[in-house]
Amino acid sequence: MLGWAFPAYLSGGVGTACQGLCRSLAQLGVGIDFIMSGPGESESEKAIPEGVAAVALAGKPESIVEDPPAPRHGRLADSWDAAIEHAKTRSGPETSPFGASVSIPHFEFIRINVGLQPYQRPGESAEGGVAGTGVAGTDASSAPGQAFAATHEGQTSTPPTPAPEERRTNLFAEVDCYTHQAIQAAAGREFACVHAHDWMTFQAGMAIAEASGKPFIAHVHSTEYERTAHQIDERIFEIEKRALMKADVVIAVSHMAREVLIRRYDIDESKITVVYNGVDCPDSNPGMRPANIVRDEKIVLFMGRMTLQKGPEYFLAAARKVLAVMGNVRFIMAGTGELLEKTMALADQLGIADRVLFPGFLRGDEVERAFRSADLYVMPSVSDPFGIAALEAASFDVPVLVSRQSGVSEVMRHVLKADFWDIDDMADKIAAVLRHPPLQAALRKHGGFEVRNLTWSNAAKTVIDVYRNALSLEVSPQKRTGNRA
Amino acid sequence: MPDSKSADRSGQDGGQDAHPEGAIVLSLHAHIPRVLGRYRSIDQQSDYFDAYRTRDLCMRYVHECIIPTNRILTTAIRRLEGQFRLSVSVSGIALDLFEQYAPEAIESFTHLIETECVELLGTPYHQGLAFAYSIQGFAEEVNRHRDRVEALFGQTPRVFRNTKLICSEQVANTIAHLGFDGIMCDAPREALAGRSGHRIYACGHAALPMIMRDPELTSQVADAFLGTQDGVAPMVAPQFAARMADAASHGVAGLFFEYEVFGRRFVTESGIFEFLRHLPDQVVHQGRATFKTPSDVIVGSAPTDELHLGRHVSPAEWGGTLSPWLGGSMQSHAAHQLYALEAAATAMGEGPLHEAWRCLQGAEYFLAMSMLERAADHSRHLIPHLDGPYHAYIVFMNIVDDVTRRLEGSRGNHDLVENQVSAD
Repeated sequence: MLGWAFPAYLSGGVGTACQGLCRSLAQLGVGIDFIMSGPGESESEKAIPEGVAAVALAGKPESIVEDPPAPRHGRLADSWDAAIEHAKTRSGPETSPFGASVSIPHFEFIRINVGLQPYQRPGESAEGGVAGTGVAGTDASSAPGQAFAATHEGQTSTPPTPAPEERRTNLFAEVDCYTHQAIQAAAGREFACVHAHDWMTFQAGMAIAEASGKPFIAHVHSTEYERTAHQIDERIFEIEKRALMKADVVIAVSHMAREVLIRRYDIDESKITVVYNGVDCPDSNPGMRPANIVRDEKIVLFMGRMTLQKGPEYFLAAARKVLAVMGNVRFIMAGTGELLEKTMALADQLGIADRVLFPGFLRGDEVERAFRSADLYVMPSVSDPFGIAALEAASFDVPVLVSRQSGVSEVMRHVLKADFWDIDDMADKIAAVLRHPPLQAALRKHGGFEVRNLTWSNAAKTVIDVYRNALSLEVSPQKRTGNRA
Repeated sequence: MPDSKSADRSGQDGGQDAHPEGAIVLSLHAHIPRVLGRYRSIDQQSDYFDAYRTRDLCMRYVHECIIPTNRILTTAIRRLEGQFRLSVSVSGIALDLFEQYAPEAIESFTHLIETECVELLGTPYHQGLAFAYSIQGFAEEVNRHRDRVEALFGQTPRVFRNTKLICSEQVANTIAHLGFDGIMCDAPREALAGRSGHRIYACGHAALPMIMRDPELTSQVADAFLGTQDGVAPMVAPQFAARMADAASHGVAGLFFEYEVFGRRFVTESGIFEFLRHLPDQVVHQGRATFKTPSDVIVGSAPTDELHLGRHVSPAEWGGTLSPWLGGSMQSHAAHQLYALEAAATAMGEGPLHEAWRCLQGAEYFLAMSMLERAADHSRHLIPHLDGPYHAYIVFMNIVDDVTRRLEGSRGNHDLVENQVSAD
């Protein structure tokens, strides 16, 4: 399996999805070699103390893979070999990032240090991949908790301040590095099929599949169209299109996403399978109930990247309409991203800046506390292939309002739904939840029940069917001629 | 399958004295509500009710169900020269909507009633749940409907059919107090405790006679015509007539339908209208049972036993309780808020606001808020644009909140439009 960024290292829905899926696949007896992009140099230098991931995932700091040593100011390429050597882990339960209790038939975690970061735009900084690490003055001693925290889908941890020019890296070069290293890492390994997550790993996936003659499964968490609200980068589109054409099976995260693949990428619909994401529901944690918040005001929460895709401006527009008819409501917009400043300015323009709070990027306990204190979670995505955050919110028993333009709206019945552009409808539903406790209670209760059936285990079972299906397909002749591992 | 059911029933009743009458009570019920508008608390722009959708619903109901069914019934009555007798109930709001959008429906009922073989039943004007909240409000609904029917058709209802056939001692007592002679209900299995559902029982301290629906006969019709969609041969009228006569041999066989069964739930192609066309002739032809109206039955036979109904009982297909309408927290909250406005609405006197409050009582609005998918499905076509129980609740509460504001704000000002009340 090819991917990047388990949540402890980096943020993003892909990371959350890979972690959840791998854990369940492993529990179901599927052996996995996971080739993952490691953290960039800045993190390995100072921000991730050893064992951070283990604190988050296994509770056994001594069992985790050490971060690859990276030269302080050297080019990333200089450290590849060393990184791979150090990133190779022993297989077995005590080394798994899934928690010590999980007995895994075979799981090997191969980290490649290229500093890849999901959803980064070409030319953007690759640093700050881990929560808060780019922020000046971050004390290393506080980092474990922060790194633990970066599990939230959709938030990027890129600091709002632009990175120095000399530290910019070229995303495409990094992808090439990853591809190159992944092919090497895969050589000589035994595996039945190649499963790659999103465009950054697709080239590697294709090449490994080609070389080994094994089926190639492309798992699409989001496409360039959805990420950019149609202002696509042609180069990324081309990589996606080529890989999806080549893939033996394509996994889409919703029927809505599947439609995009059929319409925009012209992919044969018969080879696309929908596998919905899941969520690992937290144990009930009553101590987490909002402690220091005086509850004389209602809280409406937005949590996600401040990008066009996530629709922060629609959230504000709805907020203004709600505030016109109700007082005592606070709108919290957690997360950061390219639109953060514009969004803050918009709140000001709308004259509601005093009712909107921008806490920045939330971490770990803060994420949970924000969810648990919210009267409603709103995800007004303009175009979202899935939207795991909505599942997370429901798993904390928070009432949820999602846009109909999100894949998650296909799987959840017990959430409110509105078109992202229909500000009136959205505002009306927000006001109703805040006004009517029985509505809020019903959404909490039924949404909570519903989300507990949307497990990674079910997703993994479908993925296993996909594997079986892919293995039964006849492997194309040119693949047969390729070098076998 | 149906055969084994009827065999069970015969076995159950076999040890008891057979009723001499052998009566078949066919009763049809017509009702449609207004369709709620997508009213928002944010802008308060749209209307409470969606006139376009209401008209559309009404037209389809009238032309797919009411008129074809009434034509068949009227023809059969004339053909059988009085040997085919039945009862009909039409809610007040349905009469209002027919008058407004499809007067041909009123005409169709008039023709049917002119045969003098059709008894008109009383029913709550807006098919609401007032009986569970306010005796006074319930009585007002019932009286209002009785006046309306009297004025329109010149016949005074003597027997009562409650919203969704829901019955209880409390309802029976109120109805008896209002001067009715009997009440229609479903056979409540629990209260019957093994006794036959084909007899007339007395309910409440007024010993009001109850005429019970035979749930098995009714569901056999549904099963038969649902089957046609799967290629199973439809039940033929002669067989069913025989089953009805079997059931009636124990006393009274109550066959109660809603009009939407004919032409909507089962479309013309299913053969439902053919079935309806032939059934009366078959019953009369076989000569083993007689069609009677509820009043015919009540006049002809005294109740043999008492039935204790301490709580409101709904038909078996609704689970026997009020849960499908009021079981959820949103449903009970919405109903509570609505009926809490009764005094203020009444004090205001006649006017559009009072009328809106009355219309909001329709039980289907509460059904649409049900978490039981099957229940919510049932009212989805009546409230077609409301996506899901949460939205149904939101729209309903937006309207109720607005009615509340206007009632509180106006204090006798009857003008809906000019009534400016600042929001929250």
